[in-house]
Amino acid sequence: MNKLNKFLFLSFAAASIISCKKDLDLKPTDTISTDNSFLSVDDLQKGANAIYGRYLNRANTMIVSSLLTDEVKLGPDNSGQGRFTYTYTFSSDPTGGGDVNSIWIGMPTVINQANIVLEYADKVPANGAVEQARIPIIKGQAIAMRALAHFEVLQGYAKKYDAADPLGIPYITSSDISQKPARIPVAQTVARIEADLDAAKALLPAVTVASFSDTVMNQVNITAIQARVALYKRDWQKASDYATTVINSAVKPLANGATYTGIWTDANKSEILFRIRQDAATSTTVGNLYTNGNLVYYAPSDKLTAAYGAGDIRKAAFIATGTVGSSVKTYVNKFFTSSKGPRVLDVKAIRIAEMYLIRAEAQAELGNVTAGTTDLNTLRSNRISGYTNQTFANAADLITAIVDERYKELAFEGFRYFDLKRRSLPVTRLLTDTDNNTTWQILPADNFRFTLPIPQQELLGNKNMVQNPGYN
Amino acid sequence: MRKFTSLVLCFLLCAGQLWAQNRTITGKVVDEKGNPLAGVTVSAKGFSAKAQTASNGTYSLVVPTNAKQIEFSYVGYGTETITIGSSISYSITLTSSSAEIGDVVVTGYARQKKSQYAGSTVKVGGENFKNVPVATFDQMLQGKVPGLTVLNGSGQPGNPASVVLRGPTTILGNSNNPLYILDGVPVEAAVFASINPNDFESVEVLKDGLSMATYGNRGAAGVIVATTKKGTPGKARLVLSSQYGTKMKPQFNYDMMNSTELLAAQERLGTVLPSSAAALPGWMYSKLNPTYSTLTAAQKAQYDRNLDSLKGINTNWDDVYFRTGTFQNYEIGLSGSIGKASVFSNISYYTEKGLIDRSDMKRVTARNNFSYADEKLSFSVTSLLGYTKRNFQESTTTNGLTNPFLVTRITPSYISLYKTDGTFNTSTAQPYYGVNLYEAMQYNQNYNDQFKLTLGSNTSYKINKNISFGLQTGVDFRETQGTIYRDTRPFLSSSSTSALTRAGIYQEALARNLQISVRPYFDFQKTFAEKHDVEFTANAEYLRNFQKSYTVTAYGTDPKRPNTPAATTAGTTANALIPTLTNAGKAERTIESVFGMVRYTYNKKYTVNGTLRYDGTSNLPEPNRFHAFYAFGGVWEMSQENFFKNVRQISSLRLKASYGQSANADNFPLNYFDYNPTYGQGSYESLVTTVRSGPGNPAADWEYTGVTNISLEFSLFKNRVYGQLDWYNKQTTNLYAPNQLSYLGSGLGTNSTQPVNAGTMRNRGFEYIVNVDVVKTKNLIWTVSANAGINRNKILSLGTATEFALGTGLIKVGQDVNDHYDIRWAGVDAATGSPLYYKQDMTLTNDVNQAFKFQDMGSSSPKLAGGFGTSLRYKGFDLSASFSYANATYRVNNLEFFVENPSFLSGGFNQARSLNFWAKPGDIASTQSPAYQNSFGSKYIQDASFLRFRNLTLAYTVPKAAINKMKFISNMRFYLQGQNLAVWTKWKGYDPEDDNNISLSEYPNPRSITAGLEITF
Repeated sequence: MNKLNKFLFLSFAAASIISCKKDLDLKPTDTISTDNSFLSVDDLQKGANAIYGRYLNRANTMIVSSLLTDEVKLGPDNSGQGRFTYTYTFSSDPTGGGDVNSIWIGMPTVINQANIVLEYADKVPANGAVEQARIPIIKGQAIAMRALAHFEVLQGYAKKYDAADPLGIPYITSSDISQKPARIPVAQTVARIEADLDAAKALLPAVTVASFSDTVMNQVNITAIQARVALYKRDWQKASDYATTVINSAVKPLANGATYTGIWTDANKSEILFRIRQDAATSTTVGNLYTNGNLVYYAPSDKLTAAYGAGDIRKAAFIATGTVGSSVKTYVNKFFTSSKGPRVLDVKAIRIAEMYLIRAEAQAELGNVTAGTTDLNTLRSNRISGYTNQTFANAADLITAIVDERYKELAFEGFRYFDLKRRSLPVTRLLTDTDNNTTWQILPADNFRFTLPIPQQELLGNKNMVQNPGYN
Repeated sequence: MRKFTSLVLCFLLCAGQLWAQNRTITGKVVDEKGNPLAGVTVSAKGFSAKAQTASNGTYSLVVPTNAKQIEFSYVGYGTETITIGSSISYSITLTSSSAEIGDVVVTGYARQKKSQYAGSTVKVGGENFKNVPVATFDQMLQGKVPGLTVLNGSGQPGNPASVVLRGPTTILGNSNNPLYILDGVPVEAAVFASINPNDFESVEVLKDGLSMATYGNRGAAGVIVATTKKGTPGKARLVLSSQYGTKMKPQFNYDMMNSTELLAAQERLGTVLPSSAAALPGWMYSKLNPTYSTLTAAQKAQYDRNLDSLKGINTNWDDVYFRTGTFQNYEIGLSGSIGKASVFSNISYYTEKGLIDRSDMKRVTARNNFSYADEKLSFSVTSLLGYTKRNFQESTTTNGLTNPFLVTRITPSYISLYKTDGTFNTSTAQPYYGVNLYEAMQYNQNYNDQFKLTLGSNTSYKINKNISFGLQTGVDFRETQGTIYRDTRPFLSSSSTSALTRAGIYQEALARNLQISVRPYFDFQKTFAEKHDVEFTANAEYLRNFQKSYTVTAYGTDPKRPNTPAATTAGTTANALIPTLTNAGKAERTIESVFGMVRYTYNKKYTVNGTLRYDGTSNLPEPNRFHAFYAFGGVWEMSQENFFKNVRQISSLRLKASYGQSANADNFPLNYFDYNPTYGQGSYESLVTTVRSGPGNPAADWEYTGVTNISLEFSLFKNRVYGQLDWYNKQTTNLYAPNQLSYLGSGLGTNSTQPVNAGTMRNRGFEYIVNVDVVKTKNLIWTVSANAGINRNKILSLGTATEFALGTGLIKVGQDVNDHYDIRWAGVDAATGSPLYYKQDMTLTNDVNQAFKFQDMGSSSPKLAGGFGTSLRYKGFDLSASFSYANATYRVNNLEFFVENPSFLSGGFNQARSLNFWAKPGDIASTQSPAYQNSFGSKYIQDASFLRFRNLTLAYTVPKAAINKMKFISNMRFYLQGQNLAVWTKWKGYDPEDDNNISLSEYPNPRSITAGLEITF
């Protein structure tokens, strides 16, 4: 009997160990598990902070636009960087398309983070009215950033706006990493972007000059995005109206003189409607975009250098020649010198100057040459010392001038490629910018290379994805 | 009822005896050394009469007068049959037969008779581990077990070997380490420096699916079960042993240039490409240099003197860096029994100085094994306490300029170690690395202290002769504290661009590992109707692992108080010497299991084995957390069949087949919690962010490995020839591969992949092991043995994943996982000096960017590996030799890329005499013109097959007669041993042997010669 007891006791001991299921349900200590990730409004805010942080990927849009157009030429220290892109030999393969893939790869990180925040926004408990009020603000910002990121992908990987074009880009509203989204028509993608921007504005409070912040999404800079989207969509009236709203909000008027040049050394934040902060000594993504340390990979094109007339303060602000490292080189000065530390420069994502240019173009398209001319003259008089107002005979002349003005004003800021595409214009480089090679001197208007290739890895990982025409 | 049965039985037996005439036979049984053997079963063949020898080896057996033969049998000594005549006394010497030593298989959970276990196992006896001048036992397994590829990638004292059984079972997993069990306690793999191999009784390598399935989700990479010594029967004996020896650098096949040769090579470079030789003295002072003719006579004389003085300096960097290492080991041990209790205790002190400064090891271990056994209860405790201190160079595993094994090759001999004033000749100039590193070695420190504790206990109680139950427990604890001290004085510190390095660095790293295990078990064994032998074991097991690690780095050291944490500077914002805490983390894991093993043997002829195990593990997501593993197998003891009984040449022959499935929890590609999608804290400038840090895999499951094994075990000519043949097919399914996700959908950025269960990989092979006792007489025993294993690895499928790059390789369906993937060298264009490569269509190109990467240049894992050896025993002398080899293994020789490279020549580095670069049209050269860049490719993929003379031991045991004169000494043995005496290989450079695909001037395995003395009191 005693033996039986011992046996039973041991069997019981064995059984009790096995039944100890709790020990199998261990939680990680070094990472934050999903169910522990967003538990408060403060956590939500931390999630939202990352959305902005990831929009640093705007730098990809900037460099791709420069490399594909007449803004830059390959610099003296270039040892192959960006060459596939610059010579229009890029492909969907990462070995020949690293640059052109980057927008497709980088912007979804913004979208995903926004979706994560939105999924948790309605789940976290809010303590009191103050926190209660913060939730819609965080949501509004996330929705707006989601729309902005989608718009950048659309601009790059869909053709110029055509409501009937079936090859828009998918609109991602879930944070599920395993989803395999399919393309939707361009008109639908734009409609989703517009809907998100409207929804975001509805969630956010009104903005005053005093309460405006250029580091977060708010009613003013969302309206600026709406103006940009309307311009892309060729919805001229809306583009003009949105631009007017932004200009009239007066949160950031046009700057001139030293104030304007100070924008580009981060000495002041004039004109900036939305920026991504770069403060730490290591935050040199933009500062090392065109030049890397003392190596000038991409130099300003001769064409752009020649485009600025006498008295144009932009020329010196954007282009400089000086000793870089051990030799004298011409370099993109727009993102070079900083008052905050070597190459520590913010990403200037939306500026008020763009609004004047949008309204000018929209008014010209609407046939209001005078109104359009006024906006153009206003901008120029802030840039060119001794400027006298000009007049234009017709809308077409005005529009040509406006496109040219965008080239000069928004150079290196990620617009040129998309402007030429939008307006069905070719890229025309100077032969001195192409080492006298005519093969990549001109990219004809509406060429298939005005639409970037979907990365090969995307096609491997997403059976629902369709490649753009011209690429395999 | 029981009493009645006994009575009847007794009556029947007595009755039997009544009818027969009996006589008594007596005698003594001894082993080959003359020691009495107790407990030998003595029986009359064909009759039931049985007796056992007493502790003095004597026996007394009553046999029927018509008995013709008596049989002596003893575990580990086989069975000896003698024919009896009219004498009444028969004494016999039983010799231990290696074939029979392997009679019992120790699976870690149980002991099985080899004839009744369908698994494929190989036992390596303790003599293979004894007194080998190497710190870790895994290295000693090389060439002993077919199918077990043991590669020693480093001669750093105390480094573990890479051990892979029958090819890899994972691609993304961090290793293919087998599971190690020490006296029933699972112990950490690849951390053996603090374990004394002299304590080992034997090591059993379990290679098949049946054995692996017994270990469920941890068994897939194979299981290595080590058993330490127990107290010997009889009175306590004290053993003192000491061993001393030297360690020497192995042969190098690169013959480096001396100063004159290097300066001449530089001059030759200057004539071909003056621009790249401009700063080299060999060209600068050359008479062929066009500037020379423009010089004044005085200047010319000065140039000549400069060149002559450089030629006169011939620093032998090998002499600067290498030293003759030493090896010492001292042990004192006690082994014996008192009544039913026995004890084995051993204390050891081991010290080894490696081939270069700051590479040594000191170890103290204490082993205490206690066991008690009576008819009902058995109890044992095994314990190990080990402390090890190891010194390291800054690096001996990478192509860094702090790796002395690289620096000695590339520093020119015309650079002297000291300046004329006696200080170190340090300089920022490129070729001065040899001096700079040597100086830094004098001040800096890099060492670690390791403490290890392994405790095990096993208690079992027999309820009756059929049923027993027990409890096994184990603890394996290890703490390693690594220290790095960087002084401010060395030039490498003071000239650094990093302010922190200039201030001096002091770093402490801690890694702690604890594993506990508890296993209650129940065992039932019964033989029904004499022919039906059934055994059943039920177990439950609970395993828990804890890991913790962190590194603290402080700055601002003080040369007056070197190498102490006290002498660091408090960090302030102003001095920016703020200490950091990095590599910090902790993790834990639980495995809970129930499992059963069943065996049925019919008439000692046919055995069926089965295993079923159900494991629950914390590091899988809940839906996949529990999984059942199964295995089955059978043994056919063919020699028991009647038709074999008459074949006298065959002593024993058995066929085994088994299949079993297991998983690789300890080499799993996902870390303990990686199945969870996780979030981490980041920052956006001054703001804190929460972002997705790992994609996780909520569908994560084990990689399952199924092994089919067929073995034939044979023993011929009265056990004079014995061995084993094995064929296996090991298939791993659910293999992890990175699955490409949609960039747009996943938002994971550049690394939009998720490790998923996708592929299938196969390892298939054949193994043999044969031992032959060529001569076996009373005074002379000569044994020869050989073994080898062939393995073919092939990726059968990658499922939803596509081929992917891993390191420099390409994981592709149809290929070996370690196949090289590189461009193919086609020689040097004699006209232009440009390198030539093959394009995909096999046409030639001189543009490296157009060269095609091929994947048919062999694999870095050996296809064939094995060993052979011989031992000779004549009276008191023992001589044994063992060799090991690996064949069909190809590795990239990075050293050749450095020492036969014109661009390294132009960088001022030393070169090999074999450097032969193109200089003018028509040259047939092995290396391209200096005008062209050198690229990796098939040129550097070289045959790393090797044959190694691993061990030669000559021992002499003083004869008993002489010993007996000294009353207090019972045994005395001297020996001389050579380890790693020679390597035959086509490989150039340091050591062909390593587990990776590229040699990075790693620490070579030293040669050693030791002498030892062992006295038993």
